[in-house]
Amino acid sequence: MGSDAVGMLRDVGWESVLGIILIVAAAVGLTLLIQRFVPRFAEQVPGRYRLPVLATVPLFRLVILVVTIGLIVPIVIDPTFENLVAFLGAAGLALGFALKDYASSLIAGIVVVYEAAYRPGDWVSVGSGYGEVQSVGMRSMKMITPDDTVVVVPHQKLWTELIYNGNNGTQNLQCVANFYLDPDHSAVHARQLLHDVALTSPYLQVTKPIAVVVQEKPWGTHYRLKAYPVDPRDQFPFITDLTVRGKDALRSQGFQPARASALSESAAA
Amino acid sequence: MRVQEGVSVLRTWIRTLPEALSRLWTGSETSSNSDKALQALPEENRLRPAPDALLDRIAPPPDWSEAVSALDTALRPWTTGSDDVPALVLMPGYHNAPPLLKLWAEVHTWTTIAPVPRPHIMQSAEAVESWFIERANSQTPWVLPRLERCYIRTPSGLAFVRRLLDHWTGGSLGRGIIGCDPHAWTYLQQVWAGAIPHCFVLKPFSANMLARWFRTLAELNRPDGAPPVSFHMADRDSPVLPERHEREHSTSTDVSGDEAPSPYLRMLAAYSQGDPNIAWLLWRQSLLTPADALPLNTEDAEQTAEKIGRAPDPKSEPRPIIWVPPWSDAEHPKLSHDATQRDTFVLHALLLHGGLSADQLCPLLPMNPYAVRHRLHHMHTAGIITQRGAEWHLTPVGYAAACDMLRKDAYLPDPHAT
Repeated sequence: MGSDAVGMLRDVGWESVLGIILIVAAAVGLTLLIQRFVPRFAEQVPGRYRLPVLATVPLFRLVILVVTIGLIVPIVIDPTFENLVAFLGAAGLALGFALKDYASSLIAGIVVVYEAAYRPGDWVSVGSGYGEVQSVGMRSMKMITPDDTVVVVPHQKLWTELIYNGNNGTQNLQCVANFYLDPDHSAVHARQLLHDVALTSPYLQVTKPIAVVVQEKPWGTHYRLKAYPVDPRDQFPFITDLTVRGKDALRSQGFQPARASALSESAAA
Repeated sequence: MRVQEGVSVLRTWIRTLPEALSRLWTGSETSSNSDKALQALPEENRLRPAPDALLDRIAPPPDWSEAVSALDTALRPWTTGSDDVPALVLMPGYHNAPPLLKLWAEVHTWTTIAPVPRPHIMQSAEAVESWFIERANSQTPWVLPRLERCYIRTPSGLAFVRRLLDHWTGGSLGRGIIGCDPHAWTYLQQVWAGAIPHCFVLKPFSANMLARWFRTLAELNRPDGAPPVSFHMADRDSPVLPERHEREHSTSTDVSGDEAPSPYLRMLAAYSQGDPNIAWLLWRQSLLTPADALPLNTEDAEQTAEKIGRAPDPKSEPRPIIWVPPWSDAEHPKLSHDATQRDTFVLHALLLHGGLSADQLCPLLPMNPYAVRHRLHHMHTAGIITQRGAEWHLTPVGYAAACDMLRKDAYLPDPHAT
């Protein structure tokens, strides 16, 4: 197998084609295996290790891709310096015109892995979508919304939009439960009561801080109870638990909820 | 920073791979080599749990008087001092845990007090008020062994324990010692913002300490002239405890001179969190003898070894052998692999409160009462919890299993790190 008249491409015989097919098949098979096995494995390990294990999936995919390209290119072209420059230049020109957005997403995907903008297991908000990142592919990532809807987000959103990451690869995802009370009450008592509501939730991660933010509004007092669940996947049951027990506790202590009609009546007067 | 993250991920994989793989392949029954070897033995030679009479001789119930003396030594600088600074003693709060603090109080004629009953904590302000008045008027030193029974994890159930701790640290309750489960105390430190200047924690038993202690227990009731008992692993015939003559040549305080402990004892020390009572119970449950083993004072090593198909060591003096299964084969009460978050919540609540009735437990959890009672009976069947009166409590080995599960699911921060 020597260089042909052009001087860049090798003579690609049936053996080389078969080799390329085998390499691609092995890469695809390995990728599918990792995508299928690692999330199952992550569900079997103790909860605190789930997210770090999930985060290795895009890393493995990138390594497989790089190794595959590294194995195929020398089969197709004679890997001298001049040939590589010519090949990459031609490929870049083609990608630049025809597959601009796709290439942009591919490059952004590499940057996502390096910067860890989001990883499997992260709860992110991109545009109008919010959900848990299920997988990070070459071109896009898939996330599942709280309503069990799969959203495919191209990586190139990284260039133009803000990516809000709620837990950033950790178990710490702050949750907020809102309460609206009639303004005629003791805010000190209400604040302490809501703090205890969070402190007594079975979902609570006790080593993380609990905060109660109080804001006075024209129609009443807005309380924002902020706390961390043990597992980010429990954020909605946690907020539900805080809301249900918070309402019960406030009512039992004589606190009245804010009434929208009071504002409309006073405005009319 | 990226390199550190990569190293951290690699460590996570190395640490979690064996257990996760074993869970993935749970459905396939694969016998270990030890199981195959033991199953190949004739029925009459297979190992059985040792009978109670034998266990009472080689692993008798511990006498906790030395532990009380050790506690007394630790508390003496505080008890002989002139100030009334409060002292807290952290001890696990499972069912039938050794009542060291109560025994210490009996020795020193301090009053052991009980908190306000849980039904009154939230519903009877008069009962709470009269309790504080009685304590404030009493001049005798007191001991409250179980602080975790002084609250219920509801917004209105925390007031009593906060007030108790405020009054105690403020000095209005006189001189007193409070005992508490370490995990419950970790939670209560979030409930109450104060600090306790004197806090005592029982030192966990290492594998070496367990080896020495079990050896001491095994020789406690040995008749004069009877050979010492050997404890061997059932799969590898290697000794579990150091032999007596080797132990005599090592000083009790020279840790570096001890033999490396067997893997079984290392696992036992880790699983029991160094709690000697839990380790002793697990040790006692694990001891095996051949089905037709003769009493220890007539059995010799050759007969025992021949019965289970192993050649005796010709260099050792004849001695009875008690067999110990590998840790992975030992039967411990444990939760099934399909244990859910509901089990986690129930165990966490029972751990933090030192036991609760079903009626007290239901309002604490986001589950319907039928689900709560179903989980309680399921765990009772598994030996994780037991019922005393109307209350459910963690058994000693259930306490170890529950702590292990809760720690893995990140519900239990390290109590000694806070």
